[in-house]
Amino acid sequence: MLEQSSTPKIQSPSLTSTSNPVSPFGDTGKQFAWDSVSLNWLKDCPRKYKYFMLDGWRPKADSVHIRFGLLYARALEHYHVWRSKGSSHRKAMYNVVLETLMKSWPWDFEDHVKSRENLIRSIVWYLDKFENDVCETVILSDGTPAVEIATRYQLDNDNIVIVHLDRIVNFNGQTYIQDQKTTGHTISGYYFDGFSMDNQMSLYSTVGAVVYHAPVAGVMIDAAQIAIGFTKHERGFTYRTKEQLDEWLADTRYYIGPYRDAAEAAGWPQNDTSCGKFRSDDPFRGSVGCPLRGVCSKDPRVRDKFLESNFERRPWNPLAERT
Amino acid sequence: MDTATPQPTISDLFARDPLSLTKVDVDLIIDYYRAKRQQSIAGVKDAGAVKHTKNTITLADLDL
Repeated sequence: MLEQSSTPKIQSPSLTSTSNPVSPFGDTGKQFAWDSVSLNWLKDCPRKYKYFMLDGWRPKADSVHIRFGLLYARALEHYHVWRSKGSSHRKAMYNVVLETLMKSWPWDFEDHVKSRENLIRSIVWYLDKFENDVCETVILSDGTPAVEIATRYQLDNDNIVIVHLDRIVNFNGQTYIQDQKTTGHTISGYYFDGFSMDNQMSLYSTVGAVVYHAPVAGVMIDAAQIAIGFTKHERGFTYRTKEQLDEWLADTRYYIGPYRDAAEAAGWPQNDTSCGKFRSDDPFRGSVGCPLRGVCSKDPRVRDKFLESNFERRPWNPLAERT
Repeated sequence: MDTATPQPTISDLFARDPLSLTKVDVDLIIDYYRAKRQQSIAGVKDAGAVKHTKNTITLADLDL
């Protein structure tokens, strides 16, 4: 028989947050505060950037993936904070499982894979698999663990980029940015190779070195394949040379400057070569390409109707605190 | 006559408001998934190419 003891209180490790409700747009309406998400949108397609970043539209259906991924990453980050504060593996696991149960309630999604049960399973399985991980959390100069770090980097005179790093670790004598990913696809060398040309990973590599005041060897990707009956965890790496990062930085300054201005002057044109990215030939696999395909493919006179039907206003703010 | 409270299922625990969960409940959830992972590992080792096993563990199977 179960003992009905008192309800345990939710426990969250104290972390430095970046609570800042300031708009990412300046007085002229131009975005000055960027992150990998908004950079991705702009680089992908000017029209996508307009709909998502400037107008604040987000697909109603994608919220389960965002919520699942965010809660998963937060749980693992907080586990490492608890461990760095001296908690045992079991106690730290207990704290983050309870915290995630609280934060994931209620779970109003129909997705059978990204379910609340599979979220908790994925957390427990990851923590048990990596209980004796040789990775060690870096301790910053102020004594705090390098976990859930929000930092800003001056891209040029007018623009900053905000980066949220999951964790910085020492691994085999080198320093890495660690990032958590969840996917429904099989994890293989092919999966990890996808990050060799990836805006987010290049940004992490650039800014991570600034945060840590030393070069980072690369980004360590701990990926979780979420399936109905199991979660499979694999670890991969992606690397950038200094020359590659310099090139990425120069390209990014072009995109947020002349490219953005030209796109605005042209009325935010569509880049129809991006519409089919991640679109499977099998319509039942759930990979349908850009979520805006169903809007941009319609006559311009009726696009607003399709936006209002399948999207909702959830403005993205790179400066907002992540909860 | 057995008056013991029936063992909750994992679905019962997830269906409850987390504010009503006890420490024992949370420990049960954790141990359930730890056991499921061990079962999965054992399944892979025993069956070679088998990636995972059936959902056969119940809370009553846990040695708590």
